Amino acid sequence: MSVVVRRLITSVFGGVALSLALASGAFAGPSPLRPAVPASPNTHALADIYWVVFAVALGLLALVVAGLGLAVVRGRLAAGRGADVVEAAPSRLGGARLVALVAIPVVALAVVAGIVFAKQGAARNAPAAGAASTVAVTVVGTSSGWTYTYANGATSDDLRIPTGAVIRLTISAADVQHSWWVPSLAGQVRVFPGEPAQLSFRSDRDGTYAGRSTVAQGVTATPEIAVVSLAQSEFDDWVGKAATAKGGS
Amino acid sequence: MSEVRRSAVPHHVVPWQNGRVVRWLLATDHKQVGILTVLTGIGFLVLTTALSLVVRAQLTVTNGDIVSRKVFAELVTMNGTTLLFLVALPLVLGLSTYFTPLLVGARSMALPRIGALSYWLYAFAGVILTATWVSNDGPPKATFESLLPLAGKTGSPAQPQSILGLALILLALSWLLWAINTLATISARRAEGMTWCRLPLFAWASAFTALLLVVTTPVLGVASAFLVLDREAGTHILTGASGPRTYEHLFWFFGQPVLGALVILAAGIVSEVVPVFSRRLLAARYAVIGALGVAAVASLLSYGRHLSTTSQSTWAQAVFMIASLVLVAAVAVVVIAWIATLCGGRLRQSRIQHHRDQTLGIIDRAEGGD
Repeated sequence: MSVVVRRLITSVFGGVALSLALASGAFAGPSPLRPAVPASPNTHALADIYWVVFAVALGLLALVVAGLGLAVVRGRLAAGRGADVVEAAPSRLGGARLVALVAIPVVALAVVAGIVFAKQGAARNAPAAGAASTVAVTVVGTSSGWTYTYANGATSDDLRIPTGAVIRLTISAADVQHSWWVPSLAGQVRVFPGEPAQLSFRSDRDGTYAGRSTVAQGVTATPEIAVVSLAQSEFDDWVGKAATAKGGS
Repeated sequence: MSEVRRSAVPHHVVPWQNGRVVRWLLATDHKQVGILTVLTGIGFLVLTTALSLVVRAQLTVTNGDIVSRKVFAELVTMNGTTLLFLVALPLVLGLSTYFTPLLVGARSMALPRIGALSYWLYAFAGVILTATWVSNDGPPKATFESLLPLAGKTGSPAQPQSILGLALILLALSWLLWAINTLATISARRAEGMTWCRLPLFAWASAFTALLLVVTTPVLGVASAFLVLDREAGTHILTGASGPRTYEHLFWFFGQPVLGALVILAAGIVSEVVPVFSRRLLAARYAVIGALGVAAVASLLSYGRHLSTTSQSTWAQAVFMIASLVLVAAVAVVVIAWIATLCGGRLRQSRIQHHRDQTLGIIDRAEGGD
């Protein structure tokens, strides 16, 4: 194997390997490069979008790094062969060649755009089909925390929901901007005071899910969010008692 | 002998203007103004680096208590504000001020005193913003975006938030003057034979940046003026239910193109350096110029990707997303041209040669040899 070929292989595959090594962080356990474990149809759709974008970005990164490696090796070899030549020949990149090369990222980005559009509906709203029931909750965000009010008048500081039911939230902000975001259950909803927003999702598994507002609010900490997903019977029991307790008090 | 020396001094220069420091302070020469801008930007860079080190230290530990919540909010706000408004953009604009006249073959900027005024507005805005650290209430705390209603009179009653608004008005004016000056220089002061087709890539990048700033800086100035008026004059321009969203639109109509301008100017610099190191002309030169123009337009149209999508229509989201993708595709064209230039070039190996040829290449282009 000639030195030229060896250097080419080293640079191109080295570059690609480096890209993959950097990107491998996304597959590590709890990592900021990895989406939260999906627990609803919304977040399954979001995770699909994430991994498509990730794959396309990784592919483009690998192509660019490989191209740079190839260019550097060829340029260095050419300089060694013709050190006395001051100017290299002008590039023949243009017209059809340029269009063909630019088509690669354009097609990749078009694929990303298509998939995002196709998945957007599912990411924003939980499918009503197959849902056990529907629960409507009014959510008010303040600098000190969140208040959840159910249709029967029950209120709570954490959101308790029945697993499998479609949850319809009407979210509003009382003082400053807030965002309601539980990464395992739904995408982020940012609300401005006086402009309520809607969100619907469905929890597929019992459990406790954590979230937090991501909008800065000055000197106070952004309020945490807790969602407890219960079996339907447990939820009915809790929400009934909560309404009675509120009425009694 | 003394007679000879005295006669060498221009007759309009009064004695007190002869001092080295004073000459710099009164400078209208584009090289001096450019150097002043870059040095001031580096000074603010040192400051904001120190701020970000404290921010990162606080975030390194869970529930970190290196600084209080109040100080942390101040650090985050001032770090973002300083980095974007006083470091990133001024540094590249300073480079452009220094090099653009050289690249187009002009003896000076078209409006040298306006150039100096642009610098001093920037420096003054930086000083008053930084001076809020020594005020009783400390610096602003409502993030670099001045999130409303947090940045309003109720959310942030202290005066420094208004000073931030005032500083942004001054900066908007400074960048508008820079943009007008740069456009006037490139369009009216080019050397004979320096046609638009022969214009170096960095000059093209400066022209596109100037166009972006002409369109967007008035919007920043107006948005900041609204904020200051609401806070200090008791008006209610941004205090209604739609006020926060309106301000968000106005702010990012400036903010996103500025980020695009940073990319465009950086691409202009690299597009000058790569051909020199490769010992060949830049591949697909006209495609690169076109791509930089498309990137400028796309960065303007894609401003909505920074906004909350909560009540954004699907069509608006589609427009902003497609504009963002077009921006990426335009940058891809530029990167492909760099790789193609490197690919068939004869890369320099000596570091001394690198520096020499880079300098020679820039001077060569400055003399209209491109």
